[in-house]
Formats: sequence, C-alpha cells, structure tokens
Amino acid sequence: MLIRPIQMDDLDEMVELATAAGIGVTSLPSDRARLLQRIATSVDSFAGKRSHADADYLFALQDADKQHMLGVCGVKASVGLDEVWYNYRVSQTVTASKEMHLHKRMQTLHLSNDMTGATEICSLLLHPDCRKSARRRPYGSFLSKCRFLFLAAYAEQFDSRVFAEMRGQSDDDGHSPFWEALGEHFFHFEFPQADYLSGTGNKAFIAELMPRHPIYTVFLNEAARDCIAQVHRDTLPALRMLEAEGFRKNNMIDIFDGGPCVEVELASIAAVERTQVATLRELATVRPYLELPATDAAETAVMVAPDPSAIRALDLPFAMADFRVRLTDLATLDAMTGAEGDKAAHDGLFDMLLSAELQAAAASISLHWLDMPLLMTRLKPVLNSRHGIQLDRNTHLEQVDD
Amino acid sequence: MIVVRPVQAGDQPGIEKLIFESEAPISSLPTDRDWLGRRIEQSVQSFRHNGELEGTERFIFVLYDEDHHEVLGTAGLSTVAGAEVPFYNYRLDEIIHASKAHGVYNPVQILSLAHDLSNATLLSSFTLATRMRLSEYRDLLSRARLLYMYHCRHRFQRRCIVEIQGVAVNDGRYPGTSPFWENVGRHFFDIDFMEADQHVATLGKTFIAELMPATPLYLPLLHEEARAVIGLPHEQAAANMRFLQSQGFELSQYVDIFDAGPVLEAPTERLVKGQQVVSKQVRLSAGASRSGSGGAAMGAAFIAMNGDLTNFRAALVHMTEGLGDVQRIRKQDADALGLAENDTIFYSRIKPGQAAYELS
Repeated sequence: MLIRPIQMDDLDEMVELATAAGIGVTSLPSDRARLLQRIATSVDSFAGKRSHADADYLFALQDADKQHMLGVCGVKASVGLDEVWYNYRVSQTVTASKEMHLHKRMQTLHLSNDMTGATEICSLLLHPDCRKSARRRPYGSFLSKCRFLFLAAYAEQFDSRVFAEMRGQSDDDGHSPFWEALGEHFFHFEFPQADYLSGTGNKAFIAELMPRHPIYTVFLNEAARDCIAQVHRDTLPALRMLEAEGFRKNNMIDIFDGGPCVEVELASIAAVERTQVATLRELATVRPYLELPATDAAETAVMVAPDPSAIRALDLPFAMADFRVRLTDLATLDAMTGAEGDKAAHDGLFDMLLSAELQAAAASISLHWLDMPLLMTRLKPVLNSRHGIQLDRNTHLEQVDD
Repeated sequence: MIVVRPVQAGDQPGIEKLIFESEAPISSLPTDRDWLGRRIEQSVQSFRHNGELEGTERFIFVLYDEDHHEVLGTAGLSTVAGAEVPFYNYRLDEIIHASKAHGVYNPVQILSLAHDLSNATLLSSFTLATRMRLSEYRDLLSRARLLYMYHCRHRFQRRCIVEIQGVAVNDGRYPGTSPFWENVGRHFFDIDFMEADQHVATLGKTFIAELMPATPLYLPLLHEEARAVIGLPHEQAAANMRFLQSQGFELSQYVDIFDAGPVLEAPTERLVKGQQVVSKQVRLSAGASRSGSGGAAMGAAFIAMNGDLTNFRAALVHMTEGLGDVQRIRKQDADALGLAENDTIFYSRIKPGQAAYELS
C-alpha cells in the first residue's frame, strides 16, 4: 500500500471511483472535466505552483501489487478565499418575557461564512471493494490519517483550523429531507441535481439563492429537523474516526443536506500530536540512541521519537511532491510481529506503521511517523533483525510519554 | 333617536356588553375593566383637545340610542397608530432570487416585522350590536370617523389605516383560533390564540410584537394552512372590509402579526374628499312638530353633523336637499345634533344600496 500525490494519468480510475461513490460526496462529482481540473490543481499544488488561497492536494491510495487506485483523499489549504464558502450555523434564539412567564428556546439557522480561511479535509473516497472487505477496512482509516501526517509535516502551509464536512442524511434515491424542506423552496432543483451543481463549482451561486435571513427550524418538518448535524449512515465510521482524532461538531452544517461540520485545531489532531518530523541530518544526533545505520536510508524506516524539543527546530527540505506514506500490508505485518489473526494488534499497528518512504539523498530525507509504546515492544525484534536497530526501551518510553 | 357622539365615562357597562356579544375578537378594545376605563378617559381628554395629548389623540365614538339609553356600537380613531409605542405589522415583501447565467428567476415572499405604519392615522375598535348590522347605522358609525377628520383634517396624518380581523377557525372554543397563529405565533409563545389576545389587551400589542422574531419569515417555509389565510379577513369582518373599500380604502402590503388579517390603507385626503360634505344653514322645518314616523321617512338618507369638535354629533337624517344656502331639517333631528336655527349643519349623502354590503 502506498499513499502518493495524485498524477494526471490517474484520471480514468478517479472517474470510476467517483461514479461508484454516488450522490453526496459533493466535492467529487463524477464529472470528467471537473475531475481533470482538480487533479491538475493538485499536481500544481504539490509542485508549489498554487497560492495558499487555492492550493488543493489530492492523494491516491495505490495497491502496490496490482497498480490500482483504491481510494483518494484531499486537503484544501483554505476554503472560501477564491469562492465564498457558506454554512448554516446552528444557533439558539430565546423568546423570553418575565411578565408572561415565558422562556422559550428556539433553534435557528444562520447563513455564515465562518469557515472562510480554514483548512478542509475532503474528498475521501474508497473503492467499494475495500469498504466491503473486513480485512481491508482499515485502509479507509489509513487513507484519512495520511493527511494528518501531511498537515503535520507542512503545518505552515495550512490554517490552524482544520475541518471536514460530513455527508448528511439522504435515502437510497438521493432524497434529502433537509434539502426538500429548505433548499428546494428557493432553488427548484432536486437534491442530486443541486449536489452535482454544487460539486461542479456552483455551490456559492446556489448558496446565494438560499435564504439569507435566519431560519427558525420549527418551520421545517420533523424529518428535516432530524437531519440537522446528522451524518449519512455510510459516513458514521468516518465520523467516529475523525472524532477519535479530536474533531468535534462545531454547530456548522451543510446548507444542502444539513450534514455536520467537524473541526479541530491542527496542532490538537491526535495523529499530528503523535507525529514527529526530522531530517536524516538531524537524526544523526539521535542516531546513537537508535543505532540507525547510516546506509539504510533508502528503505522504509520505522522510527521512534527523538527529543521533541529538538524536533521543533527542524525544517523540511523535502519537496511536497515527494511525500510518500507506505502502509505495510497485513501479511507483512503478521510476518513482522508474529501476531497473526490478532486483530487488536493489527489495529494498533496500523497507527504505528504509517511511515515515510525514504527516497531521496540522505541529506534531505524527511521522516514522518506515529509513535506508540507498543511499537517498541512489538517491533523491537523486527527492527533489530532487519535493520540492525537496537532500541533502548527505557529511554524511548520516557520520550513517548513526553 | 340614535346618534354618534364621543364616548362618556357612563358608557363603559354598555361597551363591555357589546364586546361580550362580539363574534370576532376585538383586540384593540380590551375586556379588562381598568384598561377600558383608561381608554375611555383618554378619549374624553382627546375630544376636549387637551394640549398634552396633541398629536396622539385617541377618539372613541359610540353609536347611542338616546331613547333607550343603550350603546349600540363603538368606533375608534387614533391620530397616530403608534402614539406611545411602535405599531407592528408584518409587511409582505417579495425578494427575487435570480441568476440570469443559470436561468434562475425565483421570487420568494417574506413577512418582515415592520413598524413603519406607526405614524399613520388608525381606525380601530369597530363594534356594532348584531341587530344593527344590516342597517344604515353601520354606515353612520363607521363614516362618522371620516367625517370627524373632515372637520379637523390637520390633526391627522397623511395616511390612514385600518386593521381587519383575520381568519379564525372553530376549535370548539369561542371565538376559535387562527391558523396563522397556530403555525407561527404559537411556536414562539406556546399559548392559545385567545390567551395571546388577552395578553395584547393587558400588555399591549407592541409588547408581544417585540417578542416575535425580528427577522423575516419565509412564506415557502410556512405551513400551507398559515399561508392560505395571509391577508384574508375573518368572515364576520368581510362585509366591513368591503364597506371600507367602498369608502376609498385599499388592501395594503401589511398584515396582522397574530392572525395575518389584512391592513387597509388610504390617503387621508381621499377618504375625506370622498365624503363630499356639504355645509348649510339650519332652517327648522315646518313639519318638525309632526309626530310619528311618516314624516321621518321623507326625503333621502344623509349623515348630518354639527361640526363641533368637542361635542361632536352625527345622526341619520332623512331630508330633501335644497338648492340654496339653507337646509330644512326636523326639530327633533336638530335637537339630537345640538343644532339651532341658523347654525351650520354639515351633511353627507348615504349612497343608495351601500348598506347592502352588509347582506353578504
């Protein structure tokens, strides 16, 4: 398994993926021209040819053996700067009068541009084959989490606020109760049509046709009210995963389907907190601890954290386009850990085995990793035998806890 | 003799009886005794043209049967609708959501809380005993206000408005409830329409209005039952509405915030001119001493007035209009109007068939 920046020749597989995803993944409509444009933007963004306002990164999850694209995920450096970004903010409005012994709390929706400037993680798509296979299920989580390594590595390119818009509720025919009770009154299109238009760059235009004054949700029907800040059932696992990373609903919802927006401070993302970044040059200082052989740079490395205070001073000489994350597959994992069929161990190891592929010259290599105490206990023999790495367990456990 | 005159303190029990009989709620005439007493006193002071009230007078006229000492109706006239507090309505506006590039042109109606009618002159508090509804006395009572404005036009505003009660449906309780209230106001107050109406009587309409959402309501989001009654009159008020329209009022873009009943408006100038008031010198007619109704039925029906701003009197008078500067009227009519020989009488014709509006 390999995560890499998307390339122009991924277009066919990208169209296939988007078609398989269906309605509701607003940011990736199965429109070939539109997808081509997004891929081109991504290629430019990785090459540093895009400004902060319109940098848009797409990653492909590639099956290393079959050379197939199994999924895609994206990060937008900042939303709302090139085109206006709209949400409804779910708010409370109180009607109160002491004389009438009245105190009534009402839910209101306010059209808002509050997310403007924030970094969005978006466009997570996994091939249906991967979603169905229990054995392959962690790939979704891997695909999503690789973005946090990226955010950690290039934090200065992103906003401190990171958010995701989660797909809202709709039935199998693509009917969205929220849209039908609200948006459709103002924009006489059915949801799939509106959703498609939205994904093809017309979202701000549609938002501008929507009500600008606050909406008291008592005027919506019950089915629509029940959609507010609720995710589509297919999106529930993704929501749980993001919640585990520290994302929380922030009272913003999608103006179309009422799906929630979840938000977190970039530095507080669990995976970011656990990620440490270093160049090999800097690693020379910790090499004695790790006993990392200087010649082993071209291979995958699994690293434990050096002193965190030293890491903050490091810079990243790497070009973004060289960003790679490799996931060791389950068979290798079993072989490495001897933990065949041990699901708990596998789940934990997925977090640990996200690692950078070291491609470049030793002087400009960047490593990204997630460290956990388990890593050392499980991988100590592996690292020792394969890479000749001797881990001083006591030393590094202290650092992990730091 | 039945006359229209300014309300007096002694009229209060009669007014309370009238309100009790009323089929449509009269929120501007409170059933609360103290409150009503204050309204009457305010009117008394207004007719005296007490300087302190200048510009904020609230007049109440009563239709009074002098023979049986009975109040048969009331009609209110306020110099400005929002004298002490803003006068709230919903204004029905249309906003266009459009994009030529995308072929979208979508007009959306909204109701906005507005108090821009606050400085209009307001006709209100119209009640009439049930048995008088099919008579010309309704014309007399209603038009008396327009005729009073004729006499002191400068005291009133350029624009004149009147609120018509909105649609109510029978919910088993008197006087029923408003579909608009059930789908709008109730969400914010959790109380029955009648209860809300009582709060209006005691706390004032403005008080309630200011608890309503300050931001516009989108019509497409309202329940169809509520949408269906916006700007429609209560069936008991429909005839009165048509009568007012015959006097020059037109539907405005405003509706009531509780029941969405229509607000009619007209330029005051048009209303006053439409009365075509004629003034002449009184000549008591020779037939004045004749008893019985035979003489009373002679001639056409007019609303006659004494033109006195403090002791205003108006009555239905049947007479034959002369060509000269003098007008002969019966002595009992002159007495009822407080007029004597050589005084100036003002009158306005009742158009034949006008009372038929009541028959609907």
